[in-house]
Amino acid sequence: MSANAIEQMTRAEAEDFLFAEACLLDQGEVNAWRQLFTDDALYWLPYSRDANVDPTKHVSIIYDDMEMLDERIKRLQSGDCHAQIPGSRTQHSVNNVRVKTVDGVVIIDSYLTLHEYRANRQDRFYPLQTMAANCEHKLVKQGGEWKMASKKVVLLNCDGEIYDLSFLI
Amino acid sequence: MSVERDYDDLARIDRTHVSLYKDQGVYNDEMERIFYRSWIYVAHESEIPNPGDYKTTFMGDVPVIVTRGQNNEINVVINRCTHRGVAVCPLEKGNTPSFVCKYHGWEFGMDGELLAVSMPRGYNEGELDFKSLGLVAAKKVESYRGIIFASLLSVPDISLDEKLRGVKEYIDMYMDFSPVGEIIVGNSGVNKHYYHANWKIQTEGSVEGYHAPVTHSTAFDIMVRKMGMPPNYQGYGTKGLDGGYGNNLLEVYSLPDEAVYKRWPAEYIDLMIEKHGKERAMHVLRHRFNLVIFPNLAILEYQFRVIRPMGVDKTEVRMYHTMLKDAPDDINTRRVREHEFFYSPAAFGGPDDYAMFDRAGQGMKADMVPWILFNRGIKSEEVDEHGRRYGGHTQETQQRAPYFEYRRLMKIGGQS
Repeated sequence: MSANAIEQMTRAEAEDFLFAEACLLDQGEVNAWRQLFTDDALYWLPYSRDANVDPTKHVSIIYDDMEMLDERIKRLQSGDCHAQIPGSRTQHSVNNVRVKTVDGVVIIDSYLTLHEYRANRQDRFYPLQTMAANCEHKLVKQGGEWKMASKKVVLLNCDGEIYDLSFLI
Repeated sequence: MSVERDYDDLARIDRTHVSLYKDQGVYNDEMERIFYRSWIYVAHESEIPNPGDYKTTFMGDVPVIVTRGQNNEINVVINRCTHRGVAVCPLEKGNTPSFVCKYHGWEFGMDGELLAVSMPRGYNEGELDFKSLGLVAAKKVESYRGIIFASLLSVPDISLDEKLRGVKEYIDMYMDFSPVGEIIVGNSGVNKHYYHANWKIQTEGSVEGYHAPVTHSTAFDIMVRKMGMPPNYQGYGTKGLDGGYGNNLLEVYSLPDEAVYKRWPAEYIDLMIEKHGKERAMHVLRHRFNLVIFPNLAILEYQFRVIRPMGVDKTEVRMYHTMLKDAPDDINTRRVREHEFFYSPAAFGGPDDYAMFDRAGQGMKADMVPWILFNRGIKSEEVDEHGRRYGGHTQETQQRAPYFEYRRLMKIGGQS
């Protein structure tokens, strides 16, 4: 047995992790979802499809350290995030999962198909939104649990016209 | 059949009529009299830095190409082949020696001149007049501090210098946050929003002091706790200003020097003082403001905001992020982080604004409740030493301001 076997993850295990994460988001278990991140993690939605985009020189859609993510969650739960009144329902479908390990970090690449809908809107007829994205999760083991050291979501239309992304992806 | 409307009655000093936000006939008049015959923002020169660079944009409903020719001159031409009406440029930006319409191969220069057509022998003598068949060029194109304005169909009755006279000091201040007085527009990202209501709601809303503590309570909470914003928003004593010709300004803050030193790192302040002199550098660093250049540009914080009408009840808003030339990297990175905190479609501020604008589109369906009110602070408005009206930043001088120019242009059609 190799000494670093503990840092490996099978595709089935990676899928289980991503399915569980999706389930927390879709069921509104936001605080439990937050606990999946390490304390120094990054939650990143770039504005560019360029894999080499420099987030210090280019605006992102989201570039949250955990302090900012906590603020984001607090805002979403405050009742004063007007863009989320009424709130979004989401359904995260995860597929095309691939796993690799680089320098002791497990990297999961996946495709995300996201459906989003808002019931109870005064203007009615809210169109069911469909979004597609490439995700990259970097996982590390902490206290026997897999944690997200980063989650990067690159929308297919990240640099296009977007109505609203005030929900968690 | 055209109906002549009384715009003095529809756009009053203290209120506007709801039909200005809904009526297709009003929209058509706005296109003809404002967007095609007065100064309209089209681009910043840093977006097309090299000969052959171009970007496509819109003046009202009309697709145009802003180009930099081989002699570095800036041109604005209508993106419509003079042969059969096809857009000659299918991309948003790029670099090219010429524009070739891919329907029948007509080729145009960067200034719109017709250079060649395919299979010319099919034209008999007298059937093809090269001179008159160039792409239609804007009647007037001028820049101030790299900001390019154009007038499409006629020469405006006021010069660009006159148009900007009341707000130039703020444009200069915005540029002088760079140690060398230059900014780079759009290279660092563009937010692409839209909402389901009239374009004027964003023009009014880009300088909105009154809504901020209500709509943005969650964002302001963080800005006060973590970003050094003063907590006493109401009592801060900043102004809303009418800069003339529809231009107007919301002062966000005017900091005392100790707050400047708290907000910006010493390295940046020292560099600013070295390049601009102490008095100028501190004057610039004390200020933050939202400036509307009527009708379609707002310059604020870290962005050029471009407002594009897409019909009477849909509006595109693009926020071109701006970077400071030759500023320290960490200052520009801060401009990136603070911008995305408030303005992206997932941010802590912008999405709430667009929720309100969509709700405005809903509420204004009620024709029988006709007036949109802008009378807050009208009785206490004062006039400064330059003759500019001003009130408190949460009052509505800034929302009244565009309609002075609106009435003027809608009456005369902006023609000299």
